[in-house]
Amino acid sequence: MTTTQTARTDGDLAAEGLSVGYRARGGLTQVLADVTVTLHSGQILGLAGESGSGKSTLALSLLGYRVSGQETLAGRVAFDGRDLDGASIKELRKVWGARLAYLPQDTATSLNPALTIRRHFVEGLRRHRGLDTAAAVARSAEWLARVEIPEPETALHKYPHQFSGGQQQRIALALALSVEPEVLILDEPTTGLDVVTQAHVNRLIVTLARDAGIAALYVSHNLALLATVCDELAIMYAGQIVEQGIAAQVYAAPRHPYTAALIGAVPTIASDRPLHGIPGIPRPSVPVHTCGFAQRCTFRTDACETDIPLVALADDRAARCIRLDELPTFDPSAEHTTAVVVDRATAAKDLDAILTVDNVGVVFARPGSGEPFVAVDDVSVRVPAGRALGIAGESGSGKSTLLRAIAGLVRPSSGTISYRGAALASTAGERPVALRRAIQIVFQNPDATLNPRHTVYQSLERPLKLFRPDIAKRDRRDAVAAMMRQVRLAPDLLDRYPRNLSGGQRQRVAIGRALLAEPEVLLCDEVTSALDVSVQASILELLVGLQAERELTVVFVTHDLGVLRAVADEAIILQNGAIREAGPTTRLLREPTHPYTKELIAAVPDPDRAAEFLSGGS
Amino acid sequence: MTQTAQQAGRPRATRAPRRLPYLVRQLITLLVTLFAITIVIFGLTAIAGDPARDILGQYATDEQVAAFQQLHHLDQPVVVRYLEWLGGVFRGDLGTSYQSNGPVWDVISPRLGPSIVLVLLSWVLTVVVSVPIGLWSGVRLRGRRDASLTFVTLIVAAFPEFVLGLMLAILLGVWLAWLPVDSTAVSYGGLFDSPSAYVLPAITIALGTIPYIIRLMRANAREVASETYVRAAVLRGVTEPSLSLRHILPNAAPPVVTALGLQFAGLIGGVVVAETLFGFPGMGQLLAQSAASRDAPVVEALALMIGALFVVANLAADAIVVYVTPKLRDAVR
Repeated sequence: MTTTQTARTDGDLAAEGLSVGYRARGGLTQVLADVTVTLHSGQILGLAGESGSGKSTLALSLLGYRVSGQETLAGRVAFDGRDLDGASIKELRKVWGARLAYLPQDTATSLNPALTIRRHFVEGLRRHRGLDTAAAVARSAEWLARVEIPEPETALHKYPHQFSGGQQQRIALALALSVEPEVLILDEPTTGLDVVTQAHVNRLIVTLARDAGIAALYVSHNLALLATVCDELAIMYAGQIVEQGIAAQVYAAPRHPYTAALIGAVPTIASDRPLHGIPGIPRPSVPVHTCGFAQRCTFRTDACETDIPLVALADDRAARCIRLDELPTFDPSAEHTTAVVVDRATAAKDLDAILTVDNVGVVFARPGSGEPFVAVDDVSVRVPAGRALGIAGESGSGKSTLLRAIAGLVRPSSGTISYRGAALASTAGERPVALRRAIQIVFQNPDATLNPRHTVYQSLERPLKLFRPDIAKRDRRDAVAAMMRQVRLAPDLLDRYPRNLSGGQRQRVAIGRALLAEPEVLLCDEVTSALDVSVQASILELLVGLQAERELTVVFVTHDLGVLRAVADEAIILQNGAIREAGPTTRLLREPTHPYTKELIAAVPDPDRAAEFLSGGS
Repeated sequence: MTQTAQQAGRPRATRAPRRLPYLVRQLITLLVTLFAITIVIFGLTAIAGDPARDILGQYATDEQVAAFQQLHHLDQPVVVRYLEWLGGVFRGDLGTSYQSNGPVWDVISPRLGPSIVLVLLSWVLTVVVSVPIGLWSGVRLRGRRDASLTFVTLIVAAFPEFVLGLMLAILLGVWLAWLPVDSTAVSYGGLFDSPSAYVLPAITIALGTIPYIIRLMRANAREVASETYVRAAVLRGVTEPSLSLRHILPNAAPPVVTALGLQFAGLIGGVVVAETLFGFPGMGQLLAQSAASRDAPVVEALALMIGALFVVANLAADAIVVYVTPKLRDAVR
């Protein structure tokens, strides 16, 4: 991993002092600066960073793939002693898929929707391994069996959409490995999959890559996952590697403030450590004569305003920080004092249920087939005023449907939902204005819920017009500005359109809009799952703070047990629409009794129990 | 995942009504549309008023007009006439031409063959020219050359068909003298005795739709080419032509197939113009002539045939889109 290493064995792929930029409209934006990484056979290198850090560019550059406008400014990518960066497209096509394999980000789009699975496989095996069709088909079936696809022979004749997301990604993995490549580049291969599915795919990736002695690069924004599945870890920020070393060591004792901050932003289920967002937004391009992280760093001094070298430390560790000698080794498990810490046991003053769900079921008719689909199955739950209820489960568990039924967006087929003891009408349209105001919802994707043609101010003013006749027209601007401060948005963003905001800012606007109605109950549907970890942490921090401050009742739907732990006092675990387990969140996660809860917990990547995770659970 | 949600012992809710097979549903749509078309067609010719005076001339006596009206049942109420006509259509009797006084079918039938050949020819020409150019430019062409192609398609699209036809006639027919400018020859001898007479009208008609299809194909190919699954294929070492033909075309084709179905209307408009322009003895020319001479039964029959062709083409395009899109194929079952 050190920069001085020159000797490589066969099949090693390395970036050596690689700097890359994009040229667009005459200007050049540098996105990678002096990146040196080596992939070793039989080992997995994890590459972590937020969106825009350059990690995907590095992944593709390692393959010799260049998007239009991309230029190599310095350094090279070497494979087997040859320079991949200068290779002709003809040479590249000989190694692509044959010796270098790539598993792309989006689970649903790594396979061509118009082609059968068989075609995907046969194409590569014929081209790269010279097999005839019969042999290629036999080999494909073998590989499908190895990634645990049921009935491989039949599966070959199906199309991608006929498989679940997890199956599709396992098929894509088999497809990449079937040609027996020497290098495998994985770009967020399990993002967007359910925890249990994610764990399954990751186990397969690690097992199969190690068995085949493949050199792999695993790109992800999830540090806990990388620390669990990888041998080595490189942390990327603003196009530079800021820290690298043995995965477990980096995760347990980070040396760079950014690594420490990133680890602090990952919600865990194991400890009571509060979450910390990283203030500010990531730098969009490579820093010049300054530390890239300086603007967001709590340890910044004037000395940081210079080009910072990557300093080699003991144990194959390297970090890019000017204050390495002064700063202590960080301990991510230690408590910080600045964060909002809510004493969950005593926070609730009023334990009367504000929201009661009694035997609620939601059944959807399925067009085409006769069987109706039971989304929510006889769920009963009480939400005490001023507390946070978490609803967790995999996709298809009915957690969002239940939330929508509470919001009055889905009509329950049976049961009642009551608010302060009185039954609520089943759809929001039938509820009186006061009740609509009292129950507000925030959705997963702010892009879809903020009108792209409304400014932030227009979006925030709307709940005031609808629900707050008590606020005079001329006072609206003040009320909106006050809310902007509460959700920690700069007031100069008021006249911007959603497209000019970052994802985190948009979600803050969506939350602010819901809060301006002065709700008693705030329903949150996976509000952070589309965001980067650092942004997720700050949004969760905000929500937890607001909840305590305003004595809000929150119902929070999430698939992430770490997030559940961070926000919810009480939790229910849903599977197939039914409650499997319910109770105080900390107890639920510490002493699960239902096998399904245990399965969910075992699927959460935990670097301290890496061996357990990779062997398939408890 | 959804299957496991169906637990045993759950009381069965009302069954969703069983849907008819896709093809049957399409066929019903076809019949309903055709029925609607008959009403519109007949209604329009009825609104145009009594043609007796126009056809018999200004010196016709009232008796002659009355006789004409009686002969063609024009003295009956519109609804009765419509039902009589519709009944005739079902029996294969399209009525009597005002001009020839013979069966409409006898007027139309000799022109049917040449027009069908002409339409198919322009159709094939459109597909053969626009799909490869559109695909190639969408996947490969960038920058200035791409802009040039877009410009050329725009220029061609901007010219009305009769201008394009005239320019082609002057270029290929007069200056180069490769092709006959007049297509009357088609009416003599067998269907394929004078193949050169088909060329100019066919090119003229095809040029009316080619620019549009090229641009649509190009836009779709470009969009699909930027999909991650195409990049994934490139990074698996897939090369041309397999990349374009296997990985991009099947995903980019559906909107183009739909458009080719819809463009049938444009093609038929082109047929009327081109046949009139080149004196091609087909249905388009007959339609123009019959409309001018107020021969309502012929116009009605032709409009019905063209309408039927149009509806069938669209439904066929829909069916093809469903057939080539695996996801849809599963959804319509």
